[in-house]
Amino acid sequence: MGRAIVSDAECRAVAEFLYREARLADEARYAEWLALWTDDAVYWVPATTDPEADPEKHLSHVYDNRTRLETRVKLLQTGHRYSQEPPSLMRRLISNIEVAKGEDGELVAGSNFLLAELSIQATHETHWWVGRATHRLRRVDGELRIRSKKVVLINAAEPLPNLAFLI
Amino acid sequence: MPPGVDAYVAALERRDGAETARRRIVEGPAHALIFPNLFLGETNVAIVQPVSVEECVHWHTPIFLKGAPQFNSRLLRMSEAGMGPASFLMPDDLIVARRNQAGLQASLAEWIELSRGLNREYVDADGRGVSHVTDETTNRALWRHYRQVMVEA
Repeated sequence: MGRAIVSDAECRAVAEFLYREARLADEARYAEWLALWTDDAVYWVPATTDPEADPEKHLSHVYDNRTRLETRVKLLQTGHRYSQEPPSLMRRLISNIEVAKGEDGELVAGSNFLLAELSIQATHETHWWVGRATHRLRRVDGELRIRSKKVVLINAAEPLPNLAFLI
Repeated sequence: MPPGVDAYVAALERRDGAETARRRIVEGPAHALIFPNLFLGETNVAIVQPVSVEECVHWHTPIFLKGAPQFNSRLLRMSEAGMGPASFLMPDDLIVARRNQAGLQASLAEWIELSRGLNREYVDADGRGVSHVTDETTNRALWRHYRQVMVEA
């Protein structure tokens, strides 16, 4: 286990995948973003920075299985998701990527993000979202897909403005 | 009905009798605002913490039923669906509230209209103001009470 057994080519593929996922989320390309996930996906944004957080015991900001993830995307696509109508203007930087082998050949990628969001739905405020994401990636028909994504915001336990976009 | 609910209701009825169990489960409003800042919303408890004239924080948590941990997971998922900054309901409400707040800062409008449903509001035998669910009965009651306690102070 560990970094040594992940090849340079795999590391590069993971980084490119993370950049692509970030761009699709930034540009509110919901259907393309959803297509990156596996059928048994878990999308988790804890409401705490505690590494012991348990989504079965503690409240989360997001704890979506595939069905709820699809509901989230469908809602954004209705045009009646007023908190993202129009969608926030966003760009995020992904950095400090570390890739390791996980169970069953999964690739586990940790990365920091810094996301600037111009919330244009009401008051045109810019919000900064900062944290670390952990992706568990698996190859499906040769393509990397997201088995799970955990996003720990540095201010996860603080009062937050709307987080209705894809983080 | 979600799994386990039948058994839970049956256990409550055995312990408390059918009438008390029914009252515990279904009586009372789905939403209740306890003046000035406690909100009971279905299976959630929320408080509103004032920060300034322009800002408040809405804290919330789901309820768990004592002795019935089998519902905790579902209660968490329901809370995440409805409440919170990434939920399916609250963010849209908050954007509307933010626009309303901008409207409140307008220097020209002297009055805020809260008359919706005034024509059909009545006081029931228990002294409660009753109207349609979409009417502003609760808003009027809150500000009437606010005026009363501020004048007394």
